[in-house]
Amino acid sequence: MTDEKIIETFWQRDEQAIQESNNKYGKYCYTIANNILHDREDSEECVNDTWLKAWLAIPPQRPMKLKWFFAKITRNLSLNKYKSKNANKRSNGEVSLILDELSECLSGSNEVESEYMAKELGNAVNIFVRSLPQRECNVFIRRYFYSEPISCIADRYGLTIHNTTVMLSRTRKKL
Amino acid sequence: MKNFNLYESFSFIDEDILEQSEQKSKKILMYNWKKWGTLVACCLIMIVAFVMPNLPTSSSPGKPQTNPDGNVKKYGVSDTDTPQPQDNTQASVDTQAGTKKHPASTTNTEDGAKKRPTNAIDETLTLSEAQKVKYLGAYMLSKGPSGFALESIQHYQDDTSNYLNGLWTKGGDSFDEISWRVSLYDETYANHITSVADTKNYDLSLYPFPLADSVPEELFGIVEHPIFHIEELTLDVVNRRAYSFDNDNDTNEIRMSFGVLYDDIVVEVTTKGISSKWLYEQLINLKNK
Repeated sequence: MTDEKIIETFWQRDEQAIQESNNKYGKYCYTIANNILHDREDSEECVNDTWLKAWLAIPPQRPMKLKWFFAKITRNLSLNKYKSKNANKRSNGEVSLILDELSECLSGSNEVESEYMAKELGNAVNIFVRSLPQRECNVFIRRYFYSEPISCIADRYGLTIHNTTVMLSRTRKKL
Repeated sequence: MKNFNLYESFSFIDEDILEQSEQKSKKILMYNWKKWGTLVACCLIMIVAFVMPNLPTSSSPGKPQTNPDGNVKKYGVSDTDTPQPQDNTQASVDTQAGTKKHPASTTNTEDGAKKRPTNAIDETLTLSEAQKVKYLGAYMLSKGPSGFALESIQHYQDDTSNYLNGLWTKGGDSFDEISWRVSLYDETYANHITSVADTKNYDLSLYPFPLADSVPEELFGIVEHPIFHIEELTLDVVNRRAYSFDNDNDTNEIRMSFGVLYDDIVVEVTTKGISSKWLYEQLINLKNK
């Protein structure tokens, strides 16, 4: 079913929309969630919550591209779950490496309301990634939006792991 | 958790940027077709090469082709369009270990990714195999400190690079680790070499974090990763490379990152959660290799 038809099904409040969304984007959303959470049950729960969020959001929203719409919902849900699970203890996995990498980019500024900070930072990140050459931009996004392991990114773009690591390091410095 | 805020902010990335990142390099997709097409072509040629001579004819039975040395010619897959004959006496690579080697694929992505030669080595080794690698093996760390176990050692070699990369970790909930990389010196290291007298090139106590804000731009490369001559290395120098990071999600133990030059071998270390004294002793012990 095309995205337009799925969105129309959401608007008609037909629960078939959720089934079709799951058929088309279920695995994709699961991958995003699992890259963050590394837990099958939690990832599946986030994917299911994604369809619920979408059901509540459409209407009135009419996303241009369902794939990215779902991707962002899933990512946010996964991050929230990650935060709640790891508030008081350390965790393994890709996210801890990513947070370590991103620590290099931050100065010791005062604490700000976190939601406001995220959106403002988001605007700044958008401006920043648009200034990057396409390859650096793609690698950067795969790492910090999709939380993909460096080896997967290297495979995707035909780079070595070392090249990918160095590229990310240089891009973080620019950020 | 400021770094988490930054991580969250990526959710606001514009969708056209996400779409752009989804596309694999077209050259990789084309290469895959080339690779499989070449394989099929070679299989057909091999079938023809073996079947044709054995077809009953009035003349004598076909003989396998041989090269001037008398070795049977074999056709192998390369990343070029036509298969190239290989000699049976193809030279072995420097590892000398019986581990499996697979020729690295070659790709030339449209956004300018590095092209790997066909005879590149990219393999995982045990510690004993790594220690036998010519030139490099003698400088590989033989044992981590108490509580650390060897996780992996990678050996990569092509026309321009040759290195061993070992990783020791503490495991469990710990993020403590030691990355130990041994390479042949080349000119790319030249800008990172520093005398211990030039403390501005490596003393992290001179630069508050983040380094991107405090280190002068012209020094950033060397401060981030200095390389010392082994003759000049002291415990004090190692201590000046030590720093700790207050991070809820990671170890708060000290971290260090730098390189050491032994004649034409460079050992680069990146560590979390080990003492500078232990690290210094390991590096000094390699001095007489």
